[in-house]
Amino acid sequence: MSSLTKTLCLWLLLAIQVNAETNGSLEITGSYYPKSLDESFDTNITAEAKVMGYEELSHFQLVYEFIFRKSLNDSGVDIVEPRQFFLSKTFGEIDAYLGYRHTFWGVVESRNLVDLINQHDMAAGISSDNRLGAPSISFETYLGSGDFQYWYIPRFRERTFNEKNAHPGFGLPVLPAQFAHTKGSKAPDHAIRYGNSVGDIDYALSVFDGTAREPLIRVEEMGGILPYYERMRSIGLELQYTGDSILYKFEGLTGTQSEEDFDAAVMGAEKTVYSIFETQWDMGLIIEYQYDDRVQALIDRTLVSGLRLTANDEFDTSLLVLYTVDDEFSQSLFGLEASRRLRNGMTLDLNYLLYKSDKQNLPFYSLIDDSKLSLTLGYYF
Amino acid sequence: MKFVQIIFIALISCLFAANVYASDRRGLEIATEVDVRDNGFGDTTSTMTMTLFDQYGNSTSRKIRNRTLEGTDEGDLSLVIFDTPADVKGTAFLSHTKKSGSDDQWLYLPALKRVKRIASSNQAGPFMGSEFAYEDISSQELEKYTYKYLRNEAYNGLDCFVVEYDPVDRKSGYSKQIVWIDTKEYRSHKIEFYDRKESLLKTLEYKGYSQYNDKFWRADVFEMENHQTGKRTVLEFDDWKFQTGLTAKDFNKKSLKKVR
Repeated sequence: MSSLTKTLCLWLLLAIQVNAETNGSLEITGSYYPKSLDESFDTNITAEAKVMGYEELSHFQLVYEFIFRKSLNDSGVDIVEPRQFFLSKTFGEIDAYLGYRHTFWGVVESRNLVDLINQHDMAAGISSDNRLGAPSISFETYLGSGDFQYWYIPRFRERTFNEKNAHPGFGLPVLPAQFAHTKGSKAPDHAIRYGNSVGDIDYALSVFDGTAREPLIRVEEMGGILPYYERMRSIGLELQYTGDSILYKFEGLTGTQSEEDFDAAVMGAEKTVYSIFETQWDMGLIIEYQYDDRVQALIDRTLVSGLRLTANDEFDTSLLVLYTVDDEFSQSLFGLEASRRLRNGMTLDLNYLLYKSDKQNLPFYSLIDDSKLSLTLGYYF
Repeated sequence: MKFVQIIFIALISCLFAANVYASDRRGLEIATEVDVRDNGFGDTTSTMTMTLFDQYGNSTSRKIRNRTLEGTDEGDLSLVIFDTPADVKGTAFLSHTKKSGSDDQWLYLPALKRVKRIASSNQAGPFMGSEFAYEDISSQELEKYTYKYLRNEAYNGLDCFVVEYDPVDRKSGYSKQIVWIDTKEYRSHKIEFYDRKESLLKTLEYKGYSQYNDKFWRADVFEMENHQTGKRTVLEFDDWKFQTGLTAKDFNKKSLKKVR
């Protein structure tokens, strides 16, 4: 148990509970991997329970969101995660937070470069919606009508990986990570962000100084995969123009990573056509272009196009199709997400991922066997 | 003879125009009085149960909390927080109403901790799969319509003005609304919504008015019936509170993330 967790528990014992609310969910996911190789499994079942809530204590507010996940065939997915477990208190105009927090920075749809606070819980899936809580001390306040944040993260959380023969798996065990900083995972991160809106434009500027979230993956001669985390200093910019039925979005990150300069950006647009074919359905057309010249980026230049259909019905039925392709059209990922509420508090989600690659030396070639079809039944209470 | 005909037609036209002008002016006066009588409410909070009935009578309910701050230069600020269904609990919808043009709107997605600015020209679209469109539940600013007084008529035993509201915004889903407003307290009791093809689309009835702070009237029940689909949505309001001390800071992007 970390010292931060111990401190939180002690405070909780001393506090007097005034008001509380708890909610939870249970999700069961069945996955099928039609192109799975012999050494791997072609079906899997994962269960994830989430307990979340808040308590108004005598002097503080406690917010928590714990995740318990267990997989039948992939122990890399198994986790007990305090995605949120923090105390908050307001001092005049300043909100202070202590503990594990989850936040979101960014505006685009396909890849949020500036979203640097929380580590990606990648074993749970490629979607960056899966995040690990950041053990942190943070402050938020108004500057004018804008939102200013400061984050101090004293301990780095490593990215999660699936088992060596799982989906995706490296085929080799993942070794203990190494770090560019001599303090390793105890090297602290600092980050600030200011965000505001002016008319139809929402913007945010952020600065990050800490350990890079994406590791370099090194194959060791002894037999194993070594994640290596660089130090990173960067400036991030988020911009969104909101028109009547079109959104223009930009996210940029520039800085240095272990003395090397880098630039990365995602820019694009989303156009919504309302009431298609005189029905209640809306259709969103998404196009985004990604650029990233960092060594850990799988692909430098990527084009993402997508279609979002929203039924606007009482079941919140929706469908999202995204097609990701490199700038030479030689490797691609087709993704489909469909979701619908079966009845109040019960949902059904369908996901499909299909990797393609023309050449064996391209990153997506090694992911072809990780193409999958999965169905998730969710119960919320 | 031809000259006389022209004079006659001109006179008829003038009388008709004057009559139209008078009905427009009367309509605006009534709508303005409705607006004036609700001025000064400051802010309100309430809870709401939304029940959706399909054409076969099956129903499903959801619980929502509302917070509104009266606008000064611009329109009202409003925050809607979803408590059920449990799978969307904590989702919040923030709207800064504009007197003209599209409103500014943000959505908070609690699972992702993400605040998304969303395009708001979809005012004709359904709100949460209900028979209420976004434009039905957003703040009713005077500038959003032109008005035409039609007649006086009794409705539920009350003497009412019947006024036609014509949406200014071409993106509205309606060609017109016919509104029944009682002549004593200037409260809306019924609205007929006509689609862009001038056909009767929906009827909204307000029931169970109560007066708060000796001035402000709020209905406890809104019943919307869609005549074209046979579906119905009933909003039941509870726990109305006025002047609770909310400020503009409770209605910005940062506040969305702290909604409980």
